[in-house]
Amino acid sequence: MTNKELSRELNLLRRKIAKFEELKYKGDLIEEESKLKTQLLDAANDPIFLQDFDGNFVYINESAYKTLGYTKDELMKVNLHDLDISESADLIKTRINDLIKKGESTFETAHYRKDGSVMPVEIRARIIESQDRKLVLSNVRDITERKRIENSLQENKSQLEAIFSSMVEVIDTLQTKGKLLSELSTIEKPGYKFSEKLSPITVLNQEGQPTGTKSSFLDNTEEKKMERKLEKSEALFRTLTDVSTVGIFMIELDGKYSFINERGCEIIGLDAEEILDLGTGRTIHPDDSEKVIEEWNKALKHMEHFKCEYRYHHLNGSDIWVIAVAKPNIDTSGRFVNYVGTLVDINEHQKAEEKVIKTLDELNRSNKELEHFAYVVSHDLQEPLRSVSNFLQLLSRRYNDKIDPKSAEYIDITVNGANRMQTMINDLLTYSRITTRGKKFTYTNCQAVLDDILRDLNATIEENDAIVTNGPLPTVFADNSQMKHLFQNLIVNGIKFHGGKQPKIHISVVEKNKEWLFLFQDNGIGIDSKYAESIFDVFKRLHTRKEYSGTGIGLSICRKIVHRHGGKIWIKSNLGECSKFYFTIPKRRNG
Amino acid sequence: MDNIMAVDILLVDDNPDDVLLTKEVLREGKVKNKLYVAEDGDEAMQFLLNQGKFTNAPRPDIMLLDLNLPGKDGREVLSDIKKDWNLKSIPVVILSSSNDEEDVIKMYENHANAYIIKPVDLDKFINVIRTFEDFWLTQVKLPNGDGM
Repeated sequence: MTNKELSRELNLLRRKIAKFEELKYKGDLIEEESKLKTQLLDAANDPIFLQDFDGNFVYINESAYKTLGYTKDELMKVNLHDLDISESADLIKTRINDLIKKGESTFETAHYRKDGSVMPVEIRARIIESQDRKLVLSNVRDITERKRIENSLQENKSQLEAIFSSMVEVIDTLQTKGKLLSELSTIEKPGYKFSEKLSPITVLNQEGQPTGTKSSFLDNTEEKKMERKLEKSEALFRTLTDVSTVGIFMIELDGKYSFINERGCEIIGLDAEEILDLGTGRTIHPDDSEKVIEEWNKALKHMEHFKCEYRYHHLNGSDIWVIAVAKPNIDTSGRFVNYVGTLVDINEHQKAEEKVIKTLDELNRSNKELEHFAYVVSHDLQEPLRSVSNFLQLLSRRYNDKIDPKSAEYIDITVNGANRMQTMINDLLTYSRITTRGKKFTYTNCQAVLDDILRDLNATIEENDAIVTNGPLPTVFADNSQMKHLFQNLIVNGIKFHGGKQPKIHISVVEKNKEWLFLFQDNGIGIDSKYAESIFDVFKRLHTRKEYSGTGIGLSICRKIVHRHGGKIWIKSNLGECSKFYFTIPKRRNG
Repeated sequence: MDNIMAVDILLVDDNPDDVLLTKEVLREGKVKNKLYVAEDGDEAMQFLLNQGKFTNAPRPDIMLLDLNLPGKDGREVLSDIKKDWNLKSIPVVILSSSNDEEDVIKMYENHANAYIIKPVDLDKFINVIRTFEDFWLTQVKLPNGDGM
């Protein structure tokens, strides 16, 4: 080997070495790069999957198996179909087809962890080509936190809705009871100036505040946005409960209070701490506690809404009446969350109601007493009256020859007085019997009633040359004999006060929505409108006994009959021309 | 006059004024009568059943019965009489201050033979008693026929 040859060999070797080193260097580089890539992928906070179209994993990063609670080897043996929750696994084929079409897609699903728990995830998938085959690269994001906030927001919203709906119910209840709590209207117009600084209320804190402490390259703007939304919603909730003039509370399934606002504490008479810890047992009125428990059990049994009126017995000894309404709070997935309710102080209302009931009772009793009194007195008054009158008459009969004309006149006057008094007593008896001896209401044909009366009054009508006419008359639900009495009194009245003209009486009826409006019109002397009210009073007379006979009870009896039927009676009259007596008879309510 | 037997009348009334007046009017009447008075319902029943101080009381030919009596009232007396086989044939005339239609109907339903409302006017009362006499004591053949 020549030196030349040797040096050529050597150069060749050097070049080979250089080439080898170059190649080695390149190989190292490649190895290094691939190592780096793996490290990078493993360092990624989000799980990354690489799988074929059948769902077999080709590559998984560290986060992927750690998040799911597997070792790398374990997870590599799991098929994606088993990892996806069943509802979602069925859709894998559809999703892959979609992916092939578009090359890239983002969707939400959920994965089973090794322990069986479910992790909601958002997946960004795209197709990549490696060694002549197509694979799916999935970037997986754990969205548990986002879902929680969404749910909590939804819960918060439905709590607000539940409060509003139970409030509306309280307002409805109070309105039907005849009282409007004007303060309640302020609830519907909250001053929308709530501060961001307000810390969220207790109940929503139970599962911990949502926080943003994720690794730096986690995009959580969506979560932040939702957090703000949640905070706003909570602030609104808090403002509402703070300004509320009604108590607002939440009760969990175990019967424990999880929230009570300030007003609620005032109404219950305990501080929030005690209510949240021990409930309201200490102030609920002992006489009402059974009722309240019973109502709660009823509501809880069927998850229905709760409503109860009861008392709190405050530690200072005072009682307070409340109306409590609570509605089950159901979240979007139909899961029962808790009861949300309102507590309204109806003390004044209740007191007023009690007073009204008491007064009504008293009124009823005194009315009954009065009627009994009138009846008994009328009966018993007759006996001495008969004695006075009868024995005076016996006196004048037996001793006619011994009594001078003046004495005879006095006796006559006394007897007349006694007779008149008896008539009045009988009238009073009739008057008091309208209610004490009233008959049951039946369907009463007014035409038949009128025909009966016209037959009975035949003589009077002929004697006075009176004309009684009528339009169509209805069948009403009434006391038949009292309707007869009413018609007769009004007709006789029209004939009696004719004032020299031929009496003409016309009876007509107009059907109204809830009642019949009767009109008895005559062409008689009429009355001055200032007497329009008082002519219906007992024994009220507008004329002397010489002008017109009678005690003046007729129209009082008419009014009492109409009132017993739930109607009204009034007169419109032109003095010297006519009288129009109107009265109403309500239609039967239940048919 | 002597050939006419005196009619035994039982008047049940607690009001002495009315008793006196009835007595006076009957005294002026044309029918010879003997008036017995019971002041309340229990006494009336004792009289009819010959109990207590009434062991020798005659069976009345006719009864005048007031409705409002202390204790057992006229309504009960009437229903007791009409339930008793021995007494039910005694004619009963209700003499009452009540013009309550319901009372009238009830008494007739209970087989009262007549219902008369006590008037305030004496003439009317006399007329009532005369009518009663005419009808019940002269026209009607009373059940206890041995007087005819």
